[in-house]
Amino acid sequence: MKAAPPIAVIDDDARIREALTLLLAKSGIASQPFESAESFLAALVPGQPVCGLVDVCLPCMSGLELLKALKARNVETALIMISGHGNVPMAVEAMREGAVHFIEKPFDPETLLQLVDEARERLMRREDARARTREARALYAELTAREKDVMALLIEGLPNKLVAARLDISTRTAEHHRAAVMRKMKARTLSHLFHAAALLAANES
Amino acid sequence: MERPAAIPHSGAGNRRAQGRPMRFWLPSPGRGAAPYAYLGAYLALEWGSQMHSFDFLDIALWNPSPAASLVLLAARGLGYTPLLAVAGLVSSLVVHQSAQSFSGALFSSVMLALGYAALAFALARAGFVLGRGGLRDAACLVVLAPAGALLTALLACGAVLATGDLPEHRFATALTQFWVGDTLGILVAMPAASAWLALRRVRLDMWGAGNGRRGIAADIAVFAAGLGAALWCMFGLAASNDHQFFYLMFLPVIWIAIRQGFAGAAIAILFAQLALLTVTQAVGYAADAIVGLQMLMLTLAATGHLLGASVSDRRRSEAGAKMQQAELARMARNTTAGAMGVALAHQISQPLSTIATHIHVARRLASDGQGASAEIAESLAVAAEEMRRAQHVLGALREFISHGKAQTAPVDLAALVLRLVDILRAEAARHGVGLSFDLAAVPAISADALQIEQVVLNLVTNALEAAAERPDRRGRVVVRTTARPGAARILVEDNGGGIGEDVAAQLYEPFVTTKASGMGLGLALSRQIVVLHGGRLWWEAAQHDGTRFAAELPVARESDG
Repeated sequence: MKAAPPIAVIDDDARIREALTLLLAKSGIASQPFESAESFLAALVPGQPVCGLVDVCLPCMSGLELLKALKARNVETALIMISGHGNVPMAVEAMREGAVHFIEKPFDPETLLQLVDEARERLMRREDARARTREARALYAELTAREKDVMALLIEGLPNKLVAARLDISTRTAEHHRAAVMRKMKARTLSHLFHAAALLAANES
Repeated sequence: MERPAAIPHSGAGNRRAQGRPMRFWLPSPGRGAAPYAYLGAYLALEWGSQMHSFDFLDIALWNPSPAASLVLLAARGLGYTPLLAVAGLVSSLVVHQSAQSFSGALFSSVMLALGYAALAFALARAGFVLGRGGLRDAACLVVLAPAGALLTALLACGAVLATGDLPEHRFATALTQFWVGDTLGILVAMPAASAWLALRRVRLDMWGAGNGRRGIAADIAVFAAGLGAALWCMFGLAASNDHQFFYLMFLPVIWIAIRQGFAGAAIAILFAQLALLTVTQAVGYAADAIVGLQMLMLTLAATGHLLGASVSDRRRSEAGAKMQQAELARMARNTTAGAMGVALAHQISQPLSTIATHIHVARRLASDGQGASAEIAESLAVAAEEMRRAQHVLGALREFISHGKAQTAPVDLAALVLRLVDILRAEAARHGVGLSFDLAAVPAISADALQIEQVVLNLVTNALEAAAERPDRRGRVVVRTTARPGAARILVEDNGGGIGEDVAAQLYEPFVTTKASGMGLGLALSRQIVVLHGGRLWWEAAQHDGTRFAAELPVARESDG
């Protein structure tokens, strides 16, 4: 698991920005302040997930528009929206656009910290799953065409004999391929193989 | 769209809980008294108008009694039709003591009743509203009354012809005179009754139309002089042809119609008719010779009513437009207040967020023991700074509110309430609560009229809502103005069950309400407004489990004007 990325604090009010960075710093969380959605997007590193606190009412590009822009760029996000005068439709739209939380000013600092923790954890869990998917895909790419056929049948739950019969090869050859699949996919047991297959399948959809 | 009439809709049974019962126009409030009042009025009119009666028939050249019948039917419904027959019969037997047979009198009375019931029905269907005096009402009356009177004349004269009480060769004459007499009676007396109702009920139309009592006295003088001159020209000057100068009668009637609207016109026409009758009787006219004059009088009545009604309609639409403007201004003000509230919430929530965050950090640093005291002090300093920022926002708001009443001007509290009468009446009708006004003249106060209007609207609306809670549906609200030494007072009293101790304790707290819908800001804001005007607002228990809210505002000093 990689180190957590810094929390982006995006608010046009300098005092709020400073207060939030201070709060996070004193709780041992690194953060990076931005005064607008545009400056945040400009500093965005492609492929890197973002976690942050976003004021809904930002000048020019609003918090909601930022959410949409990040979604359009396929950026992995865990953003907490903060609103000065929020309403239900606004909150619903924010959640639909992928915000993890929607809170109103004045906010309770304790709650805010909890939500930040939660958001970071969620982001890291998702990042972890994504890393394992990437690994599984890389391993799968190393298989030969025949080995992929064998793996597909193994996933269906067929024993060696039936795999051999289905592929019209000898049982012995089937056993050989199976060993290769298990080794290349770094699967010690069949259930490991199933798990890798599930990751691959999820990634395809 | 017709404006909701300030006068109760006639139509069948006006017993909707509108708080405007019949007692305004009948001598006694009880429902049981209406028939007697009607019978009395009918017989008195019959007796009074028989001076020119024709033969033994119940026919007078000026016959206002059908107007009483039509008023009864319009106000109480067609169910009272049999009473018309009774009135006709009693009149025929007692007042006229005609030589007619009893069965003949009964028959013709029934026919009379049926004829006027048909006319009353037609009037109601055509949209005639008793006491409203609009152009539509005048037109209904001018068009339908002659037709209805003709139908009734045919029925009644046919009846006496059938019973043999009327010789055949007299039928045409009898029919004509019956028709002229009744038509004229209706056209003259019914608008006059309507006007009387309207004046009893609202002082707005005639007395409040911007020309005051002195203007009215002047108009009456002009009218009397014009009428006298016209009559003198007709009967004193040119004895050869009395009808020659009749057109002069139009001038004073038109004058009154233009100046005072339908109510003035109706009363003027009534007086013109009475004067004409008196003079013709004094100079000894034969009944037959007057018919021509009466036809002219019909024309005069129709002209006067239509003109007066048009003037009233125009004034009402002008008043309506003014009221709408005031309403728009109020709405704009409310919208501004709403937008201001949102902006204010934002302005305050920013520093509050910062304060909370810094205090949190400071507390954490202090409790962990890891932070330097300088860091803690800095966070607390920022929090204090932010506190000042929030205070500044609130201070600016307070400044805005207290100096926002820049449009201070002398305000007549009673006139201000009168301007709101229509809105309040509509509210009262919606709640099914009776609303009445007792507005004494009060000295002018120095105030922002719009803000005081808000206070009045709020107090009355609260009272109406409280009175509407009564299970017996007898809710009443009275609005009074009274003059106090150096102050004007408005009192709003309801009989809605009073205010409990628990509610009383937090009555003026903002956002505390006993209502299902409502923010609970009304009373708090009202009191704030009154206090900012240098006045006070309080409440006390009133009779019949009621509550009386009072707002007292100091009178304007000379320099304020």
